[in-house]
This record gives sequence, structure tokens and C-alpha cells, in this order.
Amino acid sequence: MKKELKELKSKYRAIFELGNSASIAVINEDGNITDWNTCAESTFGYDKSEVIGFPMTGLFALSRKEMSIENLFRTVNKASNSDSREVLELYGLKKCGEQFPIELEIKKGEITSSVFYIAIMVDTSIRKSLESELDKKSKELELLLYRSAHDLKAPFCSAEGLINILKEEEINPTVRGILTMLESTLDKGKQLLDDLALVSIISKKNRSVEAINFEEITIDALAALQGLDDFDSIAFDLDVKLNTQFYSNKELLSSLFKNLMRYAVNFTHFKCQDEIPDIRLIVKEYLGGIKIAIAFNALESNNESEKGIFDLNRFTSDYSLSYGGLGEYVIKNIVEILEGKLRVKTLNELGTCIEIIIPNSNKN
Amino acid sequence: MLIDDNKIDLFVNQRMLQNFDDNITVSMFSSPSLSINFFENIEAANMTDPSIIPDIILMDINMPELNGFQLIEKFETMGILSRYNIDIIMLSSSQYENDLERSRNTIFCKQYVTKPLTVEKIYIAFNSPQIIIQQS
Repeated sequence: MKKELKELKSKYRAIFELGNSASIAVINEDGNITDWNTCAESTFGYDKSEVIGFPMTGLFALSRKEMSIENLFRTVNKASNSDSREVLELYGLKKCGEQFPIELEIKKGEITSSVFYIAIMVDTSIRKSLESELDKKSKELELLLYRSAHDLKAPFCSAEGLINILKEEEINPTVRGILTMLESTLDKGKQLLDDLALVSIISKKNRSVEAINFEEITIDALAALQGLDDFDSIAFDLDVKLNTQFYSNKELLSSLFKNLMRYAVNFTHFKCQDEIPDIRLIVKEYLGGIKIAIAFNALESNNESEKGIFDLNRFTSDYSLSYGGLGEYVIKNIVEILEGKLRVKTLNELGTCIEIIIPNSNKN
Repeated sequence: MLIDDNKIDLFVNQRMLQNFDDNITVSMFSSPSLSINFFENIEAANMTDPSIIPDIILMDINMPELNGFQLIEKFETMGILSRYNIDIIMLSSSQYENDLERSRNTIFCKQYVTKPLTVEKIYIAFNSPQIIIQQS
């Protein structure tokens, strides 16, 4: 029995001192520390001899100082109910007075009617600092994208102005035709730059919610596609079945429809000259929101349903993949901004179907 | 008066203003400092000839030295906008929300028009009693 107890004690000590990432403290019923591992010594700056008998809550920043260990235990476990993680994020207090972020986990135990607690504390300073750096970099990149999209529009607008002047001149039909093509090319470029600026998180604060008229949005989307090469060779079947009013951001939804339809046109496969390919767009109510489904005939190689067409990371590892243009990025980001879901399905008879579910913003 | 650092845009905007109305006299400045010099000279010479003072200034927002909003502030420090009752129309290729918001909040800014300027946009800008944001 004595041997077993000795073995158990050795195991406990080994676990207690294991690794350098977690500070572990054992606390008695009165909230005072009774044991303390070496990681805790280096993290908080107190030697074991200094900290034994010290109140556990004294290791935390002011707001938690006044708490009893039982209250702290309840707080941790209350927090765990909401996010299913038994940890609480708070600020620890070093011997030198410096505060630092930690994750705290507390377990309660009982030996011969005596209550004890085990606190496991992980210093999250490095992680928090990396998260903050990542967040800052993401914002910088978004701002760069936003400003670039706006600034790149300037030469497009100048060229458009010159075309407007040229169109007033007496020019032969061939030159006029070329001017029209040039104008359409500039329009496409401007539209793409507008879309990129629109999906940037920088625009977030300016997004308003209003009642959506899907007829207007689909007509606008079709009008925007008219310059595409294969537009006249494709049959569009649009079906909007909605009984309740849907609310969302009109600009984002409009851009989503334009880009989805452009994507479908670009990837529609023409099997033979006589056949008119079909793009079917259905909008219907789904779980209080809407489901947008767009089906089109795509080439086998482009039919990457389960490989994640909209996962742009795939291009970083395989440059040979066919790329649908920045429209993919725009579609993916709009779905994310509208807190929706996107998936791509393979349909035997129709090729590829992109399904997007968007919640009704009026209900949020 | 047109103020724009992009000479192609100056050319396009002047042409559109003349297409809108042949009788409009357009003065063009390719930098904010040149337009400031113009008003400084008017002030120094105490000129009051109404044909020299512009009724409307169409200015680009993104310019070196001073951006459009800074230039409005400079003009206002000189007191010329209120003294000569000059309206400002902001011209920009972007629909940058901060610029739209700033235009709404700038007293002398009457309109915000996205480039390229067209006869239709000029008509709306000149005939609207309150600020509107004209986008392409």
C-alpha cells in the first residue's frame, strides 16, 4: 500500500512538473496556494516558498482580486457553459506588477471531506500578440485592397471620358465598333474594382439593410452580363419564389448575383454548336432566409464540387488549376459578410450547381 | 473653374462643360497651388469683375499638395467662397465612402459627381437645389 502510494505520488509530481507551458497551482478550501509548479514560478515570478499560503486570487488583476476561490471556480464554470470550453480569459499579475493575459481552468476535488482546487493557467501573451499582429496585417491588406480598387479606377474613368468625347466625333462604323468594345472592357474593369472595394471589410460600417426586390436585382445582373462573349448563346431560366419580404444589403446582393451569373457564363461548357446551354437560377425561401441555386453545365475538369471551387488557397499550391477570376473572391466574401453558407454540388443532368444560403437580415 | 491635377480629366471636363453650354467660360488649373495663386492675385488687385470670379468650382479630390477638402478649407480661410458665393462640386473617380460622407458634411460642397463627367451629370449637378451624390 505504501509502495503504491509512493508510486502515485511520483506520477502526480511528474504530471505536475510536466512541460513549461502550463502553470499549475493547488489551492485549499480557504483559497490559499498549497502547491505550485516550476512553470508557475517562472510565469508569475514567485518562488514556491514565497507563494505557499498566498491567496490564489492575488495572482489576478484587480477585477478578480476580491473574488473568493469558490466564486472564481463558479465564474470559470459558468463561462464554460456558454462556449463549451472550461477556461476563462483574464489578466494575471506578476510579482513585478506586470499584467499579462492568461487562460484559467479550475477543477474542484475532495479528499476526506476536505475541498481542494487545481488551477491550470496558460500564459497567452505570445498568442494574443500574434493574433493582434495578424489582425493588424489583415486590416492593412484590406485597406490596401480598398484603396487600390478606388485608385485604379482613376485611369479607367479618364479613358471613359475620352471615349465619350470620341463618340461625339464623326467616325467610321469600324472605329465606332471598336470604341464600343473598348467601353465595354473598361466597364468590366470598373465593375470588378467596385466589387473588390465593396467586399473589403473597410466598407462594413456603411452597409445598410433594406427590402430586396429580386426582380430588379436579376434584371440588373443580366444587363451587366450583356457584354460577355457567350451571353447571347445561353438560355437563362430565372425563377424567384418568395412569399415573405427578404431584407439584406442591396449592393452586396446585387454584386453577388452579377458575379454568380458571370461565373456560370464563364464556366458553361458548349457541348456542340447546335445546343443552347442553359443556366438555371432559382431563389426560394429557406429556413427563414433564402436559398440561391445556380445550375450550369461545366466541363468535367472545372467541376470541382467537393474540392472547393471557392477555396482560393488551392491556387497557392497548384497553379495549374483553372481560375475563375477575382469574381470567386468576391462571391466568397459576400457570402461571408452576409453570414451565409456556400456549397457546390454536382448534378448528373445539369453539371454544376452552386447553392448559397443567406439569412434574412430583418430577423437579426 | 476646373481644378484637377490630371490634364486628361481637365480636357474631358472642359469639353463636357462646353457641350453642356457654349456660353460657359471655363478656367482650368492643374494644381491646387495655381488656383490659390489665382484668388490671391484677385484679392491683391482688389478685382471685382464678376466675369473673373467663378460661379462654380469643380475640383478633383485626390490631388498632390492639397486634396480637394483641404483646398476648400484653404479657400474658406481666405474667405473667398462665402464672399463671392461660390459653390463647389467635388469630382472623383472613386465612391470612397469617407469622401462621400465628407462631401455631405462640407458646407460649400453642393454636389459629388463621379468621373467621367458627362453632360447629363452636369445638368443634374447644376439644377439640384440640394447635395446629391451622382455615381456612375
